Amino acid sequence: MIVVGIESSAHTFGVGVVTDNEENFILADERVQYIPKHGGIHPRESSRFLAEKAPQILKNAFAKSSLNPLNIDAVAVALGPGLGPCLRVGATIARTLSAYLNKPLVPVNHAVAHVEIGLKLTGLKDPVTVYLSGGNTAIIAYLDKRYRVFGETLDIALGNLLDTFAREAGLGPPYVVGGLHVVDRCAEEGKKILPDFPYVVKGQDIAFSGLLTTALRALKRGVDLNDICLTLREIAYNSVLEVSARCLMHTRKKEIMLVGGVAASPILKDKFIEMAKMYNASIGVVPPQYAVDNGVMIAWTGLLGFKAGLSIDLKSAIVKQRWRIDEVDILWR
Amino acid sequence: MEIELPESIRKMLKESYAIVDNNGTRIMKILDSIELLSMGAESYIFKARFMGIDSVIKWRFPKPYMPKELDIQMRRYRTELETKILWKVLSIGIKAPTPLFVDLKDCFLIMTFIDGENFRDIVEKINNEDLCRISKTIGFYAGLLHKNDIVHGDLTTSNVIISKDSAVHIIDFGLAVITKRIEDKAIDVHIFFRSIESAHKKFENIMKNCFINGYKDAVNENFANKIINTVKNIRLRGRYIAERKLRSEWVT
Repeated sequence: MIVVGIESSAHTFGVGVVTDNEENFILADERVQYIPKHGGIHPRESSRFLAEKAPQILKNAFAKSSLNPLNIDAVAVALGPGLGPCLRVGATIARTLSAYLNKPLVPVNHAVAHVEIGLKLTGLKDPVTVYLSGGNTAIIAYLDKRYRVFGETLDIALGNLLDTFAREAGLGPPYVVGGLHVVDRCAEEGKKILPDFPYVVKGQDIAFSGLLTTALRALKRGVDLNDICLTLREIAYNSVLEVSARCLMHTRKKEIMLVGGVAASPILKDKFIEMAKMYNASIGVVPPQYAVDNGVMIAWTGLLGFKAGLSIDLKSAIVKQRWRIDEVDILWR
Repeated sequence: MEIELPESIRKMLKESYAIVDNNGTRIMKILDSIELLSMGAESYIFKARFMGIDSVIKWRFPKPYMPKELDIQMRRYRTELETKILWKVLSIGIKAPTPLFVDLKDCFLIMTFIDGENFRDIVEKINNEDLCRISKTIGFYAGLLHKNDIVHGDLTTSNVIISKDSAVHIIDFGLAVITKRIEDKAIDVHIFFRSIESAHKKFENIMKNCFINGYKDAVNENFANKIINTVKNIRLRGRYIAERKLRSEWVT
């Protein structure tokens, strides 16, 4: 079975082709990323960029996999959650492809896809999933046919916190240089933890907006930037670690999996490895290439869904900007 | 035991006290029969006998992945606050552990041991009547806490113990704070509901309804409604909540 997956939820247009073979299941992995010259991702600008690049990426994917498009079994597409204009680019292409090739269309939840590709690549069976990216900060665990959100951010996401601060402090964009976030880089020179930065853990949930405001105020007052970076990072990372540890205890699971763009941070990874050691849990970190948005994860999750009998008619294949991971029935588990 | 105990606990294990009465003098250990009960997200929980009382030692261990100063600052702050709040909680008539000894240097707290079963483990086993009674009592206690401006901070089914006499005890005030904000109080309820959804989905309705009934018994109606509305608002703040749509582009 061969499934083509299309991802376009934010800044990445990705096309992945996968099979259900045990070995070398990835036949193609083509992607392009929108990097703003300054500021954050503007949905309109990003979507225009994606629409422009999409046909070439799609062509490349079919060429790489040396596949006759007629031989695929299904088209999978990330219908949400994400930025509306961007999602629509992928959805339009997927619907067209599905109609033209007369192949079933499989809807995929972007967050579920991050978890599923993680499971596939790390070999973990039933982990506590820590999903950290520019738009998401969630601690997820599987229970009764759904990925349940055990804890999440109540305001901004971890990636958003780091990027916004970096932007305001003039450290970025680009936000990630040489695999290291600019805030991580700036924190290396930090000497002390500043007092009175809010550490907000509410049971299983976290909040970062107060931390961001405090950091920005300190910046205005002229406090040492490196110290601010260090304090911001330590408080932010450790609150995520604390909630993850709590989820591990609450669900009594023995595995932790890191997914999403921010999970690629080597500093955060080291902290998680230390933490997992304390709890005798094994840890799986999704390789950075697949921890960020990509088409392969959509194709893979689409394949799982399609095998379980999931498909959608074209008329209902509408993007859902707001589509929580815990709203999706996991038919294949 | 592979865990290396902090210095002050090791010292206490060596100390003794003498009881002098009509039967003569007996030398007793201050602290003995220490065994690891469980490991929490931020602490080790030991069972031990402290001055002859069945006790629990909660030790907030140093975390190697945290910077030292931030780590010690938070551990001290939380240990101190937890102790203070436990006293307050007991004084307003909620069944909870009684603090017996606190050490802020090594960040541990000794409190009475509550013999019973974790609510989380028995939810699936007990009948609906008991399930409702317990949920209702938790709701009542939550209301009582909030009326006194205490927020538990981690009110989950794991943090409720049902003792042999089927009394409901609330434990782990490690994240508790004193606050007047409605928002913080509502988060307690939100957390409890979330723990039901993530671990006891099948009993969601009965547990939530009985909890709310109990809560309403403890506070006035106006306040209870305010809390319930705030809980709804908090839930809408999560990621990608469809109800929170801004434009009518969601077609169902």
